[in-house]
Amino acid sequence: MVQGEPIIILLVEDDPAHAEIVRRNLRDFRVANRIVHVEDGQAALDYLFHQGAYAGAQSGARPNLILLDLRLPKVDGLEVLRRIKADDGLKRIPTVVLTTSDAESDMVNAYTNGAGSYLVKPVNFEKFTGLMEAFEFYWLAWNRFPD
Amino acid sequence: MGTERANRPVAPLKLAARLLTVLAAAIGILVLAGWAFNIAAFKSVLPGWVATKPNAAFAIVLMGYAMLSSSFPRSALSPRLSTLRCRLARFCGLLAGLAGLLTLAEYIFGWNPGIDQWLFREAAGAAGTSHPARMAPEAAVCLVLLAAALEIAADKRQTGRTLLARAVLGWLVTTFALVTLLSAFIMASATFGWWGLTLMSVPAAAALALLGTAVVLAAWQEMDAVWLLDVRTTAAFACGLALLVFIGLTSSRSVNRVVATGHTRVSAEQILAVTTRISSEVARARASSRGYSIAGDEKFVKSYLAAAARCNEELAALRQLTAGNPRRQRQFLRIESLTAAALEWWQKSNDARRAGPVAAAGELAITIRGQALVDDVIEALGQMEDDERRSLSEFQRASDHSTRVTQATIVIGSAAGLLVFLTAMLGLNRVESRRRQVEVSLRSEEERFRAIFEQAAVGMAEVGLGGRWLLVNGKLCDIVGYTGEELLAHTFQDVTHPDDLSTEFDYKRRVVAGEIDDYSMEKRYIRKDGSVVWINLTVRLVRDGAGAPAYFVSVVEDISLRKRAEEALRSSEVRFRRLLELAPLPMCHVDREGVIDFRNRRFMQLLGYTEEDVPTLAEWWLRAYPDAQYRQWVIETWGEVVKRSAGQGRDIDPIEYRVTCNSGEERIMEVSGVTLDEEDLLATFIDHTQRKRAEEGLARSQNLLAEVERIGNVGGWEIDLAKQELVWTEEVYRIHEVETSYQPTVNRGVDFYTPASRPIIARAVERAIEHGEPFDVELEIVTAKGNLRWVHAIGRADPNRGRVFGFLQDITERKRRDEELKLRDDEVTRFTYAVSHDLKSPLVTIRTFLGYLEVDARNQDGERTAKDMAYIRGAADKMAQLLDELLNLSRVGRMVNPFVDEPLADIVQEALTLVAGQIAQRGVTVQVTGEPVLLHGDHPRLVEAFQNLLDNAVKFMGDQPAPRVEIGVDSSDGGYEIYVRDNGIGIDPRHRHKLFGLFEKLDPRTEGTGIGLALVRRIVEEHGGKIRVESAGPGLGTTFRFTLAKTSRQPT
Repeated sequence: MVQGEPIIILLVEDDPAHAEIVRRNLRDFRVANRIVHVEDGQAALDYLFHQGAYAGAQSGARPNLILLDLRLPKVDGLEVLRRIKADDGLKRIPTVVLTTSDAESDMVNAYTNGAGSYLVKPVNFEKFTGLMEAFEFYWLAWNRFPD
Repeated sequence: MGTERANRPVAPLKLAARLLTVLAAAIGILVLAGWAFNIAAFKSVLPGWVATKPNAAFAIVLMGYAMLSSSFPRSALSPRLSTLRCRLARFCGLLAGLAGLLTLAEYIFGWNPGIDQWLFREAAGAAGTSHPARMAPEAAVCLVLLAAALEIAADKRQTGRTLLARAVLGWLVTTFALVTLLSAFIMASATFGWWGLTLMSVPAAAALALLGTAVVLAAWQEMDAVWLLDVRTTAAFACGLALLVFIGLTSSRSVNRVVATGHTRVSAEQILAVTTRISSEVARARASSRGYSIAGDEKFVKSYLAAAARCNEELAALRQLTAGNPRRQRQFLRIESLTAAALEWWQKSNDARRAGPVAAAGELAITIRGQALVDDVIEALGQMEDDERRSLSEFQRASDHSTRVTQATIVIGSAAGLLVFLTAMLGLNRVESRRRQVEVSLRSEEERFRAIFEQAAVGMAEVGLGGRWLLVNGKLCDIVGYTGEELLAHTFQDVTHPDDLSTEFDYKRRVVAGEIDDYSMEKRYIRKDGSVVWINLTVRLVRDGAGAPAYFVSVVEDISLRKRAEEALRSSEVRFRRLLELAPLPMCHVDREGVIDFRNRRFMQLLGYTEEDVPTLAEWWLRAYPDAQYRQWVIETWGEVVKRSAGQGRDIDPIEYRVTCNSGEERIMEVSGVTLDEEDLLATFIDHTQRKRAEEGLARSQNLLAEVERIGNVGGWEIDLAKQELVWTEEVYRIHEVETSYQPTVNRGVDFYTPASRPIIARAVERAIEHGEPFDVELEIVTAKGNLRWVHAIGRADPNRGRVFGFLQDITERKRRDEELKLRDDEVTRFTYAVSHDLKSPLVTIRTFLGYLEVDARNQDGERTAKDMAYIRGAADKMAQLLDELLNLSRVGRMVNPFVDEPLADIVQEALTLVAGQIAQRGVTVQVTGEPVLLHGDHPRLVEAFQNLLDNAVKFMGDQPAPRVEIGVDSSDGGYEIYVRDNGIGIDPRHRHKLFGLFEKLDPRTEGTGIGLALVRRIVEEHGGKIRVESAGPGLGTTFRFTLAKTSRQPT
């Protein structure tokens, strides 16, 4: 990762409101970042693998970080995670699961399939903000990304 | 020989003896008759011969009777009479003998008690006998001998010695008599026997000879066994001896005669000498007397006296010499008187001379008288001399004659004797050689006998009448444990068990008495070592020639083995009786007459009937079967099976009867048994009451089990390892959907399983069979009809009974329900998950944007606030909608409306009405099939289903210019499939599986909560149907197909 360049975050989220929340939070953060938002699992895969609607090398730069919701239409978040981690080119991209589900099984599955972190969307506004801030600090400020 | 005597016809010898006896007695009677009636011929055969004395004749008659009587055996018919007869016979014999003895005594001791004349008187004119009326000494001797022989014969136990004695006595008698007869006929002058005594008369001699012969014959008869020499030899010897005796007698007689002659001669010569001397003395006396008378010289007197004295001496001598002979005495007396006269004359003369003159004496002496006297004397003397000389020459002649006869007799006799002896010798030789032969064969016989006797496998012995062992063989010694020597010193009583003695004595007594010939008994001996041995004793009495008991012959058989076997048999019999008695099965025995003569303990215990209760079959019928009609049936059926059994020789076919026990309790018993003879039978009772009850219980529980099996869909199976057979219960057949005629095997059973399940079950069964490992698996099978079923197979090994067994349960239902439950569970989980997620999502949105709103409101950013509020509202709306649909969905699960049949068209019509807006707005063409199909279900729900499907179809039309929805019915194997087809955007096959998921929205941009299809599916499934979706691909439309449990054709 070249210093100074914005961190590309792929946001895979089907709920527009939630996407908006994330977007709003990340927009204001000091670390430069660019969000790519896809609304379902299939789109996420298409983007990552340069296929389907995203066929063509230009469209879709490789993200540095993937924020992944589990409940996605078409292709499930877990499946996406699996696919990402199965691919040599993509598997080093840290993937953080951001979901409303606090089910143990989902968490275990996420980690089993190679998730880097598991975050549960809090219902509280302050908490959500706090979470986003922390996330930003940790993942965008402190965390180092491989090339 | 001895034992058969009684039955044999009378032997010829005996018969002859009897005949002779009769003849002798007849002679005696004749003689007596002769005396009685004075017939001379009967008394003595020839006149002038000695007559038989009456006492002799009487004695002969007595003896004859005695001998005859005793020759007849005692009759067993009238023992008392026979005893009397025997006694009488003996008495007669003794009497005759006594007569003879007395006579002999008279002769010997010179008695003359005068008994001879008691009986009879001497007849006049009979030939003179020395002792009138007395029997001849030979006759007496003969009678004594005969009596002796008779006495000896009276002894029942005749030995060789006694028989020989009798024979000898008889023979002596015969010889005496015969000799007398012979000498009578030969000599023809026999009137005097020995010692000048009376000779036996001819009749007497004949009779005695006959009697003697009879005695010999009788003895001979009995001597058969004893006397070895044959008849000829013995006869020869007897004859030889007789000849010897005859010769002896005759020679002695002639010697006697010679001696008598000698005596006579001596006496004659002496007489002659004396007479000569007398005559010389007489002459001298005459001369002396003359001389004196002439001379008168005294010396003449002296010589005369001397002569006279001498004369007298001589006369005395002559007297002596002539004494005893009457004739001679007469002559002597004459001589004496003459001589005395002469001497007297001469004395007178002498006296005269002395006194006077010569002339006087001389006168006397010289006169003619004197001369005459002398002449007379001399003449007398001369006569005597002549007589003597004459008798001497007579005697001489007789003596010469008899000597000649004797010589002849001796020569002939010797010759005959020699011949006879030669014959005898030859006979002896023959006898000897025969004896040798016999001896040899006897020895070999004896050897054989001895071998048999000694080696016999049974004990044999001869036992004396007193019980003493006379002869024992080896086996007997073995049996008794004593040696032969020891046994011979003992009696059988010594070795017999005391308890058996009395029986044996009784038997022996009966045998001896002749009541039985032999006896057989089982008894005990006490061996030397004190042990007891059982034997079978057979004893026979051996009688001697006269029929008297001699000794016993015993055969002893060691039956200790048999006894032991008998004992074992008896104890075994007792044991079996006990077994029968104590057998755990009630049994009774009914004999021909219907009497129940045996019932064992169990019979009495179980049925309660004792002997008094049911002594006969009739009683049994009454007591055991109180109901008359039932009883009738029982009697009939029983009679039938008994008859069948007897006829075909097999067991009585068992029949179950309800038997009433003594206590009144009814028991179900299987009555069977066997017929032993015609009507004899042994009946057995098997109490089936328990069994029946158990059977009933078992049947009940079996039924229950079958029911349970059926209800629980559980069946049992069992593999018999030995027979390699697989057995299924009914339920297992049902599970596999095969007929009960199907023959399952382990391999076939395993083949029912699906390819995935087969290896598992095969391995499990194998492990169970080989290692006894139990298994418990849930696998899938394909039934015979091709249906897929889930089964729960449990297996266990039972090595003790060589089987592997287990259960098979059809868990398809359960699996389905489990799956359903799982699905529902999953669904619930998903539901909860989805709910929590999908409800949480808007909540997050609302809360977060409220926060933003707060900030934005403070910042008075109108645009931002509006946007925020929009998000909030949107989320709230969503939540509301969600909740609504959730409620709706949950309601589907609790269907309360009854199922009814409704035409498809009507339902679809109603649904169309509800989505009419969307349809119109999008401009969709809806085509509904005209097929008259009836749907059976919950009306509002079905409507809802169609509504959702239509809604969905409309929603996903996409860019389709001519949107069309088709609702129709396809018939598919036996049922109807309803389809809703659209030509909308279709479904990406990759995502098809998520279609019916709750809250799944393939396209998040579309409206809707994502519940719709889930709802449809729920509705379909609640109607017992299945729903699926078909889509060729994106942009190629979608077809939803579903079935309902009951879809039928509308009747026209």
